[in-house]
Amino acid sequence: MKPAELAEGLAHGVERGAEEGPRSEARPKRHRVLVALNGEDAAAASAAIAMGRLVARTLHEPLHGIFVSKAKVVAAELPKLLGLPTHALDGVVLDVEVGEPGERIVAFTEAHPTAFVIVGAAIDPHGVLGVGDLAAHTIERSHAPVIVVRPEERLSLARILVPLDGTPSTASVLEPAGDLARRAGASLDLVLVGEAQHGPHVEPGAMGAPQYVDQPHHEWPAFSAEFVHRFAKTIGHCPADVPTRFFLGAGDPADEILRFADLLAADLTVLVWHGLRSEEHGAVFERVLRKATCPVLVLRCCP
Amino acid sequence: MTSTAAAEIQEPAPDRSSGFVTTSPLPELDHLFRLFVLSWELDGTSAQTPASMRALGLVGALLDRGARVALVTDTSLGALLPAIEASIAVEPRKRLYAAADGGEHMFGFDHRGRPIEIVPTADHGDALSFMMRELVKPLGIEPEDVLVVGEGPGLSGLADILEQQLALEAQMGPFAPPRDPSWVIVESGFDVAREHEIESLLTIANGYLGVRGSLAEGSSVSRPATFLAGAFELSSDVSPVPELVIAPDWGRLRFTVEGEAFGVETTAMERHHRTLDMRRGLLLREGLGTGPGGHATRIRTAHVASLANRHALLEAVEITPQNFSGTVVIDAVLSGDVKSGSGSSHWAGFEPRHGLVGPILVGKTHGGLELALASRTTAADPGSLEMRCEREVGPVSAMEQCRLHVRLGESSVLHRVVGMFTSRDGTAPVHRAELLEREAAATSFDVLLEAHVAAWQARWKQSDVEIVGMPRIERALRFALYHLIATVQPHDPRCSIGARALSGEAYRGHVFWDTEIFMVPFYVHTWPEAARTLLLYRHLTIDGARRKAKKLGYEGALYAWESADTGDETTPEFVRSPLGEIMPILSGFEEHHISADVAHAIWAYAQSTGDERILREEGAEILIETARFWVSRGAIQADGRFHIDRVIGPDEYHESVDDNAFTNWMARQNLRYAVTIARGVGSAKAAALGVTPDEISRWETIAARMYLGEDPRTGLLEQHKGFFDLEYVDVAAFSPRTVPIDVLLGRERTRKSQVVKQADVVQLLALLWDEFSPDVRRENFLYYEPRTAHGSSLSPGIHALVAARLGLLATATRYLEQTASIDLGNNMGNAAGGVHAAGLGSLWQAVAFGVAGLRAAPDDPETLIVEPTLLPGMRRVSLPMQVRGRSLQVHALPGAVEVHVVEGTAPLGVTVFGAGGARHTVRAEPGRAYAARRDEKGFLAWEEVEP
Repeated sequence: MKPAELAEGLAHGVERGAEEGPRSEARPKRHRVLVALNGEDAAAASAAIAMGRLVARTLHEPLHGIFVSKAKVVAAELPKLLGLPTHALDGVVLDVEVGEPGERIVAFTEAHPTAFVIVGAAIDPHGVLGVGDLAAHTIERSHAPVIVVRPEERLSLARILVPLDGTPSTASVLEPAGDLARRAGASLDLVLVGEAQHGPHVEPGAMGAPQYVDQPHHEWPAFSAEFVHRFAKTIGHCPADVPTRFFLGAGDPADEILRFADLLAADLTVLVWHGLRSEEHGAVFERVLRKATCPVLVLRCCP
Repeated sequence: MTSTAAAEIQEPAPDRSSGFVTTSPLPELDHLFRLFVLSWELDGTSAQTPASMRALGLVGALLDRGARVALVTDTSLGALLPAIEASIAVEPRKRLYAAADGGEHMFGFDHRGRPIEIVPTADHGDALSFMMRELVKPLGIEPEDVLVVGEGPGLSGLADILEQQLALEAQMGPFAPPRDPSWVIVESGFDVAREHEIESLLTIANGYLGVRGSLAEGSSVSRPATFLAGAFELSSDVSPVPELVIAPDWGRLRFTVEGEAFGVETTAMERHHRTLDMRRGLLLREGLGTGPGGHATRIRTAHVASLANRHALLEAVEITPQNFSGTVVIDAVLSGDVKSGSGSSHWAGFEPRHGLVGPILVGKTHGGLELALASRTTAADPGSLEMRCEREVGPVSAMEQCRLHVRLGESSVLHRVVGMFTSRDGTAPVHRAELLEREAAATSFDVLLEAHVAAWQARWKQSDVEIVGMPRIERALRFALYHLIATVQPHDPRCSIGARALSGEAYRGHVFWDTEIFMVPFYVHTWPEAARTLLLYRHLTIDGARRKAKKLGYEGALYAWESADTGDETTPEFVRSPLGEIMPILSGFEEHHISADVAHAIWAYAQSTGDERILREEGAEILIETARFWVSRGAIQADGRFHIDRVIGPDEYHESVDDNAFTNWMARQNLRYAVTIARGVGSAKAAALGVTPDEISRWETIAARMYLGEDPRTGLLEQHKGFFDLEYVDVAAFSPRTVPIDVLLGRERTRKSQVVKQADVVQLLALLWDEFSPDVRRENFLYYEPRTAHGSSLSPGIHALVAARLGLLATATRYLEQTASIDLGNNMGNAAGGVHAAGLGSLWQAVAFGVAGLRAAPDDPETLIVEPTLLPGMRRVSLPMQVRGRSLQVHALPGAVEVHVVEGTAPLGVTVFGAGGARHTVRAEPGRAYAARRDEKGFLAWEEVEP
């Protein structure tokens, strides 16, 4: 299946019947794609639903939508509450809950195997993480992978950008990105980024750019191949049939991630987040999230 | 203290008054210890009592096997010394320490077996602290490898423990890892992320082939490869280039324990060590693990690429079930299922066969190279082993499958001999491989192994460097020499050495100036016949150099920047950088100093060995043809000087520059050498090549008019025309950094700045030291060193060399440590594609030419200048050196230097410099030794000493 076909919705979607049959412990569990529906921002909700459809079709997994409000509402009222046409929610299994949105979304992911949580970003330059409260709270609390999508972004899954800092602990979370790429028929672009001026990593197995480039035409291909092998294949368990390219970022990590996302026309940027915003890595994470011009997949790492 | 203990050793607190600190009650004595710290209490009796003498004799035996031993005693050294001298020979005594007078005085023993006080220590605890600082930390000795024995057992009990250790070592046979930590590279556990670099570091090789140290049974990340030296096939790149042939995988061993595969990813490994035994040239492995079914098994292996017979590959396997008796199946495979890193299968086809003594795999490459591998697996002791082997052949493989009945706690040992020949070795490789197997069948495995070990011992005798006080550097240098010895084929001029030796696929096995400038000097002074063979490779490929010169519009011979089997240029013209740019590669078009580098290497070899034959024949041809190239390469311009425009010097950050100082100076030397040879010993060859007196005069004129870029006001050499006008960039301000500086600054800014990739003018200082005054050397080093970013592994070693010669001790130490870490440091995967062979060679040069300060006298090749500069922490540097047919042993000591002419037939001049630069030269006679002491003004005159 071509990524473009996925984007345009031409491919056949999930066979719904398989999800609806009688449950059995012997049956493999389905991993749901969950869209967080934001009642305060129709554009964000609409973007999340569109991305959700794309991801669910790609994974052949069911698409769920969760709406959380302070008072109980009826599912049938959701299109109206979200400011969307009725057909906008076709094919989405709806779950309406009462409570605090971030908390309920996390509860859902803990109760049901969830491949991805997809949330629309609100225009909120001054808020936490710059993506609006719902997206920010979801990112901060969810241990399931979260995709943040902005309303104006084009949706496709042909090229996935994966910035890495060269440490095995960070790369170890790559598996979902590799699996998504394989299922989408997408290519992976790995970008090694790091503060250009600091000492070498102390983590065993870490890689930085080669200290010695005796002959660039030999060293760079060899280094690239080793990096891809070490991080994508060996540690990240990315499937061997996913086309993978390697690039080296040479400046400020956030700037380089944004530059490569633009240069390589990335459809999705994968960010690994340690869960902290105070330290260096968190600052890079926050800047990219604020300024990204394509959807961002956030993977939690290294608690 | 009353117990013996190992593991969890902690450095004593500063205020501790006595006693060792140990936290384990009783050590496991069933493995080999590397460091022994022994309480040696005589209880008022003589040190020469039978109990003491027995124990000391056992200490001597352990020292002889490489162990380090520290004796801690309340008595004086004087009381103990006679017994030590009576029990322990001089050589092993170098690994002995004595903490005497209750630890107040710490002694080591010098190269003559004499005690030398090292540092005063306060108590026993400090003795242990000393050993921690001296050996344990620098060499990363595992706590489990340290045995501390207190007073409890007494000398008799201690002797029993030591005897048990020796018995255990004898029982382990070839599987016993060396005790001396400075002779091993140990990799413990299994780390998928680091596996490729570990495979490179643990390569075994013998010059004919090199075998990466991959796990025999393989893993999901293993990249096994056997490289055939000098044999090339085309890669699978978009623009194919020659790359080293990947031979069939001969070392594959699959272990199946009671139906379950044994391997690091399928077996719960309780213990897994791989040990490169550099002294014996063995790759050892021990794995103790439990399979899914609960079967615990210990497997030990030894892999050998024989240095005694380069076509013989040996494997030994020991299997010991720990909790069961049952069946173990071993598949010993010859597999043609191999591809190069570029994805190329070099093999057109295979023909597996049943041979007379074992399976045979015959293959033919696309280029027509025929190869035969024969294998034979046997039980070490057929009478004691229930084993049945069957042969199987597949489309591209042949194997023996041996089924063993193993018994609980008993070790079963198998031996395997693999013979490898190719059509490059002559006719009938299949017949020769089979013949090797038949001969091996008539010889014991131990004999084959002993021959290999003896061959390594012979090489180490000519090569090993001792650096007392800096064990980490000493081990790194042994690692360097191990790979340099292992990678050279001393009898086949079709083989030179690629940039990553025979340890990895990076650089495709291509030969650069690395060989002549960075590696050949080591061989010249330790293995002259190997150096000669490497230089003859350049004669064998001179037609390729002629073709390149002609293609670019020049005369004579211009050597390929990257050379393979024919000598034709193999440098690609473009590369995609990881920044996404397409970068043109100009080295193949512009980096022409390589022709002068080859010429210089020929000249230096001949000067250092006295080999006139090469100067009459092959060397003369090289010198003449390269001189002709230089004449055509430049022109005398309006200023009356000969200029060489549009080149790349060693500093490859600056391309297409005019009058690169290194290039011009080396070209001048090239022309001078050619003049001397054409008028001297090579006159007949010159005549045969059509050289006329006018042509020689022309060379002479051009050499005299060569533009050299000297600034008479400052003494600085301008690296290339316009360099002084470029932007100054403070390289230190960009350190530490995670990307090379040209990536950080960008290509354009780098090109417009004074940032230097690697030693360029400094390289020139190192090569042509006596062409420059002391002031010029110092000023240029101090100018260029801060501008050099060391973006090449070729750079730090040369900086260490020059800094040491200039007496810049801290700088020299820093660069020496950097060089030692190129492959062995936490190098972020830099070694995954192979070891940095030139960096290894530069480490030897930094120590031999820098620290030991050895060089030929410029006015008399029959005289060796010795100007040692011991770096902080070094207590002695000892190294062998071959100079013009004499074998020397040089000892650089804190206040003196000793030179012993071990072999030779005529005296050799040896010079030191005294007060005011006065020369003290002795005509050193073979079989005699000389010492020159040093005071604050310089060396005093030589005195003869006992050899």
